[in-house]
Amino acid sequence: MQSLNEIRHHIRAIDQTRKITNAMYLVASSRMKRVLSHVDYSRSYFHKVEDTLQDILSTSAGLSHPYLSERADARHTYVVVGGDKGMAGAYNSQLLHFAWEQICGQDNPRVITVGIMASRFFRHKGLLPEMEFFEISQDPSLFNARHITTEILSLYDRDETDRVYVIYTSFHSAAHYTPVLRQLLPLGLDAGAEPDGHKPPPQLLYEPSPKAVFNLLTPQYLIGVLFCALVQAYASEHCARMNAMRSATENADEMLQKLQLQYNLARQGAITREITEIAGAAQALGQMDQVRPTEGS
Amino acid sequence: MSRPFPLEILTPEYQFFAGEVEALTITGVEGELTVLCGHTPMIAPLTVGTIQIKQDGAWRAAFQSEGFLEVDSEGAHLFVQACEWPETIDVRRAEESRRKAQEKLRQSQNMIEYHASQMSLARAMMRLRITRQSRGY
Repeated sequence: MQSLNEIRHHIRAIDQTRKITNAMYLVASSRMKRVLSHVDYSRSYFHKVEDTLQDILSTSAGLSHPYLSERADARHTYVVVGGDKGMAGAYNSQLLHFAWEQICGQDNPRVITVGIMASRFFRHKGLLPEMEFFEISQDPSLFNARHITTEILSLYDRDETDRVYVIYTSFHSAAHYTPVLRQLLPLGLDAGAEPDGHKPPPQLLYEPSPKAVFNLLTPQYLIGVLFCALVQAYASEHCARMNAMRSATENADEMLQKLQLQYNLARQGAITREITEIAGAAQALGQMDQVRPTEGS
Repeated sequence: MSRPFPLEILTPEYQFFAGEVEALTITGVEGELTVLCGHTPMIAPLTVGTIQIKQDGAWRAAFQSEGFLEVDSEGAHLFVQACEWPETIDVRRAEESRRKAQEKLRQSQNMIEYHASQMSLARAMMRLRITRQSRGY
């Protein structure tokens, strides 16, 4: 049995940890709610851009673009979008192990990391990241997506890589998020494919020309894919953190209850012991008083 | 008096505008473009500039970043990366990014960097111009 002081100390420590986990839970849930609307709008926005690009490709023959053609070699680059902090359950480890599985088989892969956890992981595995972006996973803005896209495009334009993939956590719902791999470059659009579901009106006018529209929309599409990835990773991270912190808070509550019970038992035990001691002492004194007069007489 | 048509303006972060308008003027890559009701189906990319919307006979202007316009039989849909009313533009931030972009433009090492800084400079200047116009000086 622990002593009273030990239990009291333990209770105080757990209470403080519980306060922290509870605060982190609240912060994560408010951040997640704020970014949820972004998830929907960015998805519909970039599906539209993708559809338009696909429409242009399937209606106008002979369109070529440097980002469309497959390159002969297979030098792969992976953009891994992770978190800056831990304390989010299995979020980071799930993503990074998925990424590692994808990357492992390639010879000479290049890695671009977003987030401290991702860059630490690859450094630990002995794979020095080509570029590292910090603090972006806490602020998924278009500005940041644009910044990363510019860097990736310059890498691709200098002909230092042939394929670029993004690995991020796709957010389906608050309880369901999975790591996914998505090809960024070359554009995974097929010139022969029919646009799914809808047909573009044949008299659709492209102003000034289909090729010009395609060229202008391509960078926007790439920025879009990255923005989507950043936003979804952010939402998933905070969702994972929310769940982890909620269960941590619940565990703390349970533990506090147990400790409180133990504390009460120990206190009760101590009181009983003290009473017994006092009672025993009083009895002993009484006996001595009774003995003493007989001694004197 | 032209007939109104539905217009929706969407950015990746939020829905900026949805409603019936009488006319819409946007800044395309080859200059300004006005869309009225019954326009032929069209897709046109946009560059940094102003969006002007005519509603109930009055024009309103807003800042627009890159994006594209789609006109179909049902109405017009605008997809822009950023869109702001003049009263929501953060002048201090725009001023700051203008300064940064100018500095970067001076120091840019290659064409890609140069173009990127040029675009962010254009965005900052356009934001500032729209706020100035709306305040009447």
